[in-house]
Amino acid sequence: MKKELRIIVGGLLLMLVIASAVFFGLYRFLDVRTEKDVREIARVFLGEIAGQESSRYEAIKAIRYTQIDSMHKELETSGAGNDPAKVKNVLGHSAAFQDLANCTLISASGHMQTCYGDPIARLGGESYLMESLASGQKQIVTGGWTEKEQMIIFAAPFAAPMENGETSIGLLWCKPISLFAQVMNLSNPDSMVYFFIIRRDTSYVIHTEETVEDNYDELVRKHVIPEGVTPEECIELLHNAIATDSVFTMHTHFVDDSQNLNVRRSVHGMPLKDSNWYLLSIIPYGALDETIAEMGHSRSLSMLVAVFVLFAALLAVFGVYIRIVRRQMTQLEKARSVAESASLEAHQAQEAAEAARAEAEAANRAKGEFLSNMSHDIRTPMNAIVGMTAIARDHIGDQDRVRDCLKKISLSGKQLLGLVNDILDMSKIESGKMTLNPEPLSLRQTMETICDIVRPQIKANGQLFDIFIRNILAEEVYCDGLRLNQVLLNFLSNAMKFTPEGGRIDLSLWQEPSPKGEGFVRTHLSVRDTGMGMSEEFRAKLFTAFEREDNLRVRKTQGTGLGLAIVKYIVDAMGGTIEVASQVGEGTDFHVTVDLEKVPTDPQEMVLPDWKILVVDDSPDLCETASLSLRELGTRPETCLSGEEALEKVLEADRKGEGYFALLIDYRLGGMSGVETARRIRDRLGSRVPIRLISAYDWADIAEEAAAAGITGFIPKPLFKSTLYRELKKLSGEAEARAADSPERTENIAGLRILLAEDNDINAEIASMILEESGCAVECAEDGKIALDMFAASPQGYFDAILMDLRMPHMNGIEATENIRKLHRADAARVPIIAMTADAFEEDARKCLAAGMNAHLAKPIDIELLKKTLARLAPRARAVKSS
Amino acid sequence: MLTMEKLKSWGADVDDGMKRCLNNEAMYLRLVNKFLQAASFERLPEALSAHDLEAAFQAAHDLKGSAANLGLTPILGPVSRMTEQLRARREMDYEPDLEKLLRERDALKSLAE
Repeated sequence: MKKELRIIVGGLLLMLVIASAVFFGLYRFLDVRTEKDVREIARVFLGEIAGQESSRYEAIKAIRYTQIDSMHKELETSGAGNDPAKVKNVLGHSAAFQDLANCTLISASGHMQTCYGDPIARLGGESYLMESLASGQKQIVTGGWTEKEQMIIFAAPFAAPMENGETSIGLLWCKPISLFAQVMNLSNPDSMVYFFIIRRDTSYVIHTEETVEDNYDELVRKHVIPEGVTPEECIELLHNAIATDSVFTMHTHFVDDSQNLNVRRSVHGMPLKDSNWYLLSIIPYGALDETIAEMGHSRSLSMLVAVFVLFAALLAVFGVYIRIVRRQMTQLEKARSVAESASLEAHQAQEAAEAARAEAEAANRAKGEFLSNMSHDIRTPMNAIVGMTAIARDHIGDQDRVRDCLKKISLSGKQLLGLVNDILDMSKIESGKMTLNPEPLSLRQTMETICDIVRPQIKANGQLFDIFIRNILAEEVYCDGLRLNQVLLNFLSNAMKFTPEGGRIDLSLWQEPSPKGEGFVRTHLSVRDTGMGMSEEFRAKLFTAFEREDNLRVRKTQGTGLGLAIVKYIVDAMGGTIEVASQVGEGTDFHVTVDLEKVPTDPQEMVLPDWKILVVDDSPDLCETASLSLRELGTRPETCLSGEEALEKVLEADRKGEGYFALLIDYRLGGMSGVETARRIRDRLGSRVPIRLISAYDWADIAEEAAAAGITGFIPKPLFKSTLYRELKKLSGEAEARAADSPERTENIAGLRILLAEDNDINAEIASMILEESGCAVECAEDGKIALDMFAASPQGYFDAILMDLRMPHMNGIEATENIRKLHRADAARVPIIAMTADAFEEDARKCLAAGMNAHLAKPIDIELLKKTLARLAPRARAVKSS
Repeated sequence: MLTMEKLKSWGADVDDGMKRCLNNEAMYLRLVNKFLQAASFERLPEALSAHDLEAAFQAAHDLKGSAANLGLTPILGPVSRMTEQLRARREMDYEPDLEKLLRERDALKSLAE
């Protein structure tokens, strides 16, 4: 762009320069032309003027000679004859009559006889006169002087006797030159032109007032700078012209330093006929100059304007052109960049296609490998099943044999089914059909369930299991519980698979504030084992589907390699991350971090009295977290790490009289076991103090032993704050306190008729009883179909509300609701239908709403909530009924 | 004869259960007795051996609901686990839980006599 700009500017400047040059050139040219024009005008003008003067002169001459003729005639008729005196008289009278300045007779010898007026003192061109008279020229004009004045002499051949006896050859008829000048209009001050009349020798006959010199030559020499010739040459030219009776023109500069004059002049000279005179007409450029200059100026101005207008027009055109060009350029640019990016895209597309192809090939390969691996994994148990079935059939009578075969068939079957489940999950993921269903989830419940599930297997493997929870900011979160279970179980089952007997498996859960904001909590889950670990390179492709570490150890264990891929997918879908740390031979740690949305819970104030509680556990972590939770609950916790220490502390406290309100002892302690500790304490202190056993393991196995030792209860790990609260609360026997906290305002739902659809008879009974207690009339239906029929058969507005269990045989709650809503009766659309769901994540709340339900309550039914909901939804129905 | 103490010693959360029954002890005990006779206790193992996971789920779910309502924790534990796995129609070994479930039921039953 810059270059273009420079070109443009350069061009403009060039144009400006050219224009200026042209302008100045034309200016100069015009100047010169003007000069020439002026001169031409001057010349023509002068010519005209001179012509005019010449005509006047001729006219005057004509008149004068007529006058002279009349004088001649007069003389002839006068009868003067030859008498000179009479001749003189007559001539004198005539002259006086004609008001001459002088009238003189002249002889051939040059003798002059004055007939009238002052005598001629001198002649201006005596030789000329004499010659002309001698040659018989009819009209001769010349000049002369009397004593008084300068005169113009009109001479004519005139023969008359003179007093001296000679016969005149000519008559000199004279008038004052001033008169002549006047008539000739020679000294008109208004005229632009001024005149000289000069004699043949360039001496002045008539000249301007200012003239100082005697003759023109001198003038020329002194003041004149002719154009093109030197002054001398000019003079010569003049003389030539005079001599040849031709016109003389010259353009000059008239310089007079004394007056600081330098004017341009044109000179025109022409002979006056029949005289020895030459008329010089001179016009100074001054006047012409002004006019011409003005003309020149207006010419220049108009030219300038024209030039500018042209320039502007050119600029405009140029500008438009530039704009067009620029637009074209940008379009071109655009097109070019479009083409470029298109080609780039094409290139990228090609590369992407290449990459996709390579990927597809790799995936195919992996699938192929997987299939071949899997076929082995499928075939082995299938073979076992077939084989075992055959054997069993053959030994049908041998019960033990058959039982053994069946066991093996069962195992193989489970294996196969695990495989199938994984594959199904994987294909669901790959076709994008697996979506998460987050629902309110109790982490406590989840962890408890998980522990329950894995404990038996871990025990069977002879492995050690522990569970740690720390810093739980929110127990209730939105999460897909099913999938979360899947993730944890997957990690745990891997841990169980790859950890040897006696190894440890630890499950941890902790939370911290989430960067996503107040409504979220960052939740960490970790499964750590002391198993065989994995190599660095395998860790990198850990989550790739169908991959398993290819070595002897791993091949010995069963698996499809799909589990972790599925887990990764789930965690990714939750927006979380998985980290894996592992050392071959030392163990593995799977760590999942995910930001979960908190379920806004109605924080029931979990408060306990400030009981002194002793926590005994060999894990300092657990002691710390439990103690924190207990403190938050309002109690005064103390901790110790061994049974021996616990015994000491308890006895000490008892001695002081400040015994502990309750003891929480871990089952597994270093040194003295938990049970043993409890026994010892019981031995010393009797059964006053409640002792609760805390353990990650199953109560059932140790129940007898524990009971015998005096342990009064069992708190399973994980020790959530709510777990501690609930368990310890029992001790105070204030279970009803919670019920007492419920809102005083009891909703009035008396008089409502409810249709209860519930297949579980116990639930139905309880619900009915609750409702009847509050004054409602309840009718029960055992399944959806019956509920639909009952409603359809009922009169309009009979039922005020329907409580619909969702899981029922024959027709479930959703279907029943849809069908009820479809009925053609007014109350079918309006009757409130309340869903009862057993679990938070059983049914999709959306599905309920879509089917036409108005609300849903979780089972086990909270009475107050039920009443509130009914009160909210049913009064409408009641209003209708009463109207 | 089933009593509150016996229930408690068996491991039930009687307070929870009572609350649901509006603290009507008679009703509560009656319902517990009724629960022990529930058909689902037979249907569940039947369905499992027939590999009818659908039916098994229904049965387990049924038992879970009642157990939860009555605060029968020792039964609730295993049946709850089974319900969740069955909900996903997961093929796995339900034996341990089923065994436990039935054992607890039997224990309670014997207490009721």
